[in-house]
Amino acid sequence: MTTGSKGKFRCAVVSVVKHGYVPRGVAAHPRFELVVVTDDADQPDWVHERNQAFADEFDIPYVKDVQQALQDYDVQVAVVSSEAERHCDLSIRAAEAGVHVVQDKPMSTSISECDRLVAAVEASGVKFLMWNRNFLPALVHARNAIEEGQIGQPYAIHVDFYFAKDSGPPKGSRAEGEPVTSWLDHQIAAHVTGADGGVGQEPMGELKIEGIYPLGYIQYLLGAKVNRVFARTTAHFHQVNADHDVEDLATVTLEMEQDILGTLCIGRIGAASHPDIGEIKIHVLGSEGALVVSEARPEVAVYYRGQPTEEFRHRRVGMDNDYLLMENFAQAIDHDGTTVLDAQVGREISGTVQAAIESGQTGKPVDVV
Amino acid sequence: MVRLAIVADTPQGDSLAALVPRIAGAEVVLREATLEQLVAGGMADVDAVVLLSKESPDVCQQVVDAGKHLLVSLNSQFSTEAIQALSDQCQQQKVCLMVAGSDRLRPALQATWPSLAAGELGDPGLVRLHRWSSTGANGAGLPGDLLRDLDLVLNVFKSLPSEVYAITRSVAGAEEPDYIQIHLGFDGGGMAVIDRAATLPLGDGYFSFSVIGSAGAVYADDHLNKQLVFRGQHPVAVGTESGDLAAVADLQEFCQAIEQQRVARMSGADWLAAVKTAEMIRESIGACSAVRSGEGGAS
Repeated sequence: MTTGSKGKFRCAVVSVVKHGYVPRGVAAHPRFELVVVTDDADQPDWVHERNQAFADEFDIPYVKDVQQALQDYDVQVAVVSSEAERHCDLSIRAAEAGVHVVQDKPMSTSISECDRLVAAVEASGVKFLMWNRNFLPALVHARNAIEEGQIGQPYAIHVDFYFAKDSGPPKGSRAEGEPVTSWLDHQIAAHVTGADGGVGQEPMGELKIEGIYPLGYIQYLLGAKVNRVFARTTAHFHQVNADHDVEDLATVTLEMEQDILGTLCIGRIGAASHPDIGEIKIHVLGSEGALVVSEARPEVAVYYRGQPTEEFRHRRVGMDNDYLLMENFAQAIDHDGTTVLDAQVGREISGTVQAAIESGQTGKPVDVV
Repeated sequence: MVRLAIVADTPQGDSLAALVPRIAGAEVVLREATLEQLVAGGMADVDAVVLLSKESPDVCQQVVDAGKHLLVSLNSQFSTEAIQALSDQCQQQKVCLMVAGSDRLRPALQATWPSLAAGELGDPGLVRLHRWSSTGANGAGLPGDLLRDLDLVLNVFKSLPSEVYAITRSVAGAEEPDYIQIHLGFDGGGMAVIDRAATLPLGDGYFSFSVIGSAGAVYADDHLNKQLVFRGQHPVAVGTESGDLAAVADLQEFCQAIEQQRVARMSGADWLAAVKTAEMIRESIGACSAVRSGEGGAS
């Protein structure tokens, strides 16, 4: 394994069918250089088209053979943003080739795949980073306040995570007899608006698609594992969620280590329900005080005549998340440290999500495994 | 003109009486400390009684038996049976029963109800409520004013919850819990999450109420309504107060309901629903598990 020795890390983009912002975020750090895009040759045309388009944009080759690309381009880091069900497989192959991994969310659609990835990362000794938003300015501020003891000992945390995005036509809009759109076709079409976080064959609800962010915040701020959950889940907003029986709204009671309690409210609530990307807030209660944090701030309001309706009026500023994530990753490689959201933590979050989904289906509290 | 008698042995009665001149179609004709004093003096000139202290079921029934409309504070001391009996009695006597002191008519929340009723928000899917304070009067394991929160939630979903999961903690180590979080589920998929803390340092509290519907959302959040005061170092965030407007709105609604001979917006049925939900919460806490309507004492 090559570590880069505080020099540049050569990165392979191992499938980029979902979020181009992940490899772009990696490349935002001067120590990380994208040198090749790669994927398996047997992937469908739409996958190759997206990979090729990204390679063309960055003027780097696209190689339809992952192992060959990792070897031939002297790669130290793999950046994985495939369909969700291929995430772990691609990451494991990279880890087994001795390549560090930055991976898009969710960790996987299955817990057994997460376990396989954790084992592969551990066995190979590479570093792994689940892409996340823990270094948003508001989160960094909140963590500093907690670490400085400003609110005493934290005992409860609540994350309201409402994504004001649509996901196709609203629930109830499909006429009787009208065919159900396949999940993958819907996600492929949603790529235009960036609302394709659930791209893959397997339908996923909001807990799987976005749960890593708020649960990552909780882990980052308090460092406590979730032991037990009670959840309510429903497809409330979007026809595609109702058709595929996956939730777009969920509430989760969290019982955590250190006797910490918490809740998560998460939903893809529709573009009409917020003027910007959504209301996202973190509430932390401590023995000596409390924090109310707006994840979006700092932001600047921009309004003008003729402004497109889909344009966000409030623009986030002071964003350094991409750089800080990659700096954290580089430091972990340089000094054999841990990343801010490593494979083990990613697995724990996936376990919490799985337990919440099960609780939503059974109506009973479920222990997190 | 609705002729009001205000019965209270606290300064709150005087404060409320001072607001009545703002109410169209109402006047205060009597101001007494106790119902006994009111009865002794005669109630012939009174149309309605605002009862703000020592509100027992017996006292309330006395008012209603006398054919007077009754405004009583939303409190958790009445059993479901007592509320039901009082409601039935009001119906028989054809008098108005309204509960005051809920948060429905709080200015920050008043914008919610017309949008909800007009269908602008679509079907409600989630109510999210945070309420933190530095003190919390606890009663039988639950915050004394929890009914306010439950009433807000129930007013959105218009039904009792079908599922409840609640947990409490005693953060400061006292016997009574000073923290509670409540998870409610409703038939049709609706849900609500409430967290209440009485652990803040002395000073202002925090309140946030959101309704997420299938077509829109309402966010009534203290965080959005703070003004800044600079006195060196970090500025202080100060809430923009709305004074007595909620109490004025309560009185106005009571008087209008009487004049229009209709059910008040916060009726005995609403009170009963909140108390029944509180019973389910208590049951869930005791069982350390989720409680479903029909399985336990609540229905």
